[in-house]
Amino acid sequence: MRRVISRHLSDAVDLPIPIEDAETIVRAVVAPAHYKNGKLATAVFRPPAGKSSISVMRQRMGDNYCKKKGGEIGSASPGQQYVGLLTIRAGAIRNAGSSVSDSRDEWLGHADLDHGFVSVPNDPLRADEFARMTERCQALKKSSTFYADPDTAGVAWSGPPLRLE
Amino acid sequence: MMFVGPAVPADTYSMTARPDLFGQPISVIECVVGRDMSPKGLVIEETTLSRIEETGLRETLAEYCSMPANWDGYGALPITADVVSNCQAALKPLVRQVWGAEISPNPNGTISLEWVSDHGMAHLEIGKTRFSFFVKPRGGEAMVLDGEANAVPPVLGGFIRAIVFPPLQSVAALTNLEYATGYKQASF
Repeated sequence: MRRVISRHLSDAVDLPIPIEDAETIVRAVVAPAHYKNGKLATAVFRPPAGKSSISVMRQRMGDNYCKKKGGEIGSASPGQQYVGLLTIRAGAIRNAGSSVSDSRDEWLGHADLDHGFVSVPNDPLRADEFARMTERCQALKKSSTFYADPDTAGVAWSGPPLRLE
Repeated sequence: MMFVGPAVPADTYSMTARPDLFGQPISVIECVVGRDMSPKGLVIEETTLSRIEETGLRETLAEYCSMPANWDGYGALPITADVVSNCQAALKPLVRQVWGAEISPNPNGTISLEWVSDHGMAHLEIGKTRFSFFVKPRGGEAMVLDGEANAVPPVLGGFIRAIVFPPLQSVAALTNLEYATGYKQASF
């Protein structure tokens, strides 16, 4: 047990700040807001008001860690339920025109996926910016893989490995 | 998945769409065929289908109205009654001209309607005071429009239909979409 804890701490400390293109980035998905009738909503990649970025996780922290965080996000969302995890390569995010960077000041393993357009409260962006951001979100959706969690109530991730090879 | 013939599995239903050329009056657009129906199937009028879609979208909008703050766990704003009201006003003329909208709430408190096909995509986001819209044919340039949220142009639906769901070119263009319920909808 002690060895396991120490290994986790060691992994955590070893997490480099730069995110390489090959690294797998994870986002927790809640339903029905993000996922309805077997389809992911483009809104899964939309930033909250006043921000240009969305919260994501670094898979290097481990599949179980990502699942635990997903469950926390789900339980913090009234009327919604955590249903699974979405994975995408950091390189695919950058190819779409957005950026991804470590933001461990939130918590270790947290990263920001930034579109560069600050979301306006209760109103859409100007049409040209709206088009650019929506196209980015569509491209991200196309490049990502969603894994429905086979055991949303469980502690450990029991789905396929999240790391994209 | 391509739909190449009239064969319908005995335990399923198929729906074949028959939109006429864009801009012309349409009387019948769907034909539902099932094992317990006559070979000609059940003909559903366009207005009936529009009403069905409109009802479903209005029910969804009502659900959004009841979502509290932080509904996505990432700090989303609630969807206000103003936003829902603007959406409801835009809905009727839209669904009379184009079907298959995916509706979703956005974390900044707005509502999105999106239409996607092999021919292109269109997105409409409606907020408290403004709307933004863009349509992009596959491989083409995006066309954008914005304006006051309570004045979404009624002709937008026809525009979306012309670009994202262009009129029938040939029978070979018939495609199938499978519903979660087991129904199949075909569209040209």
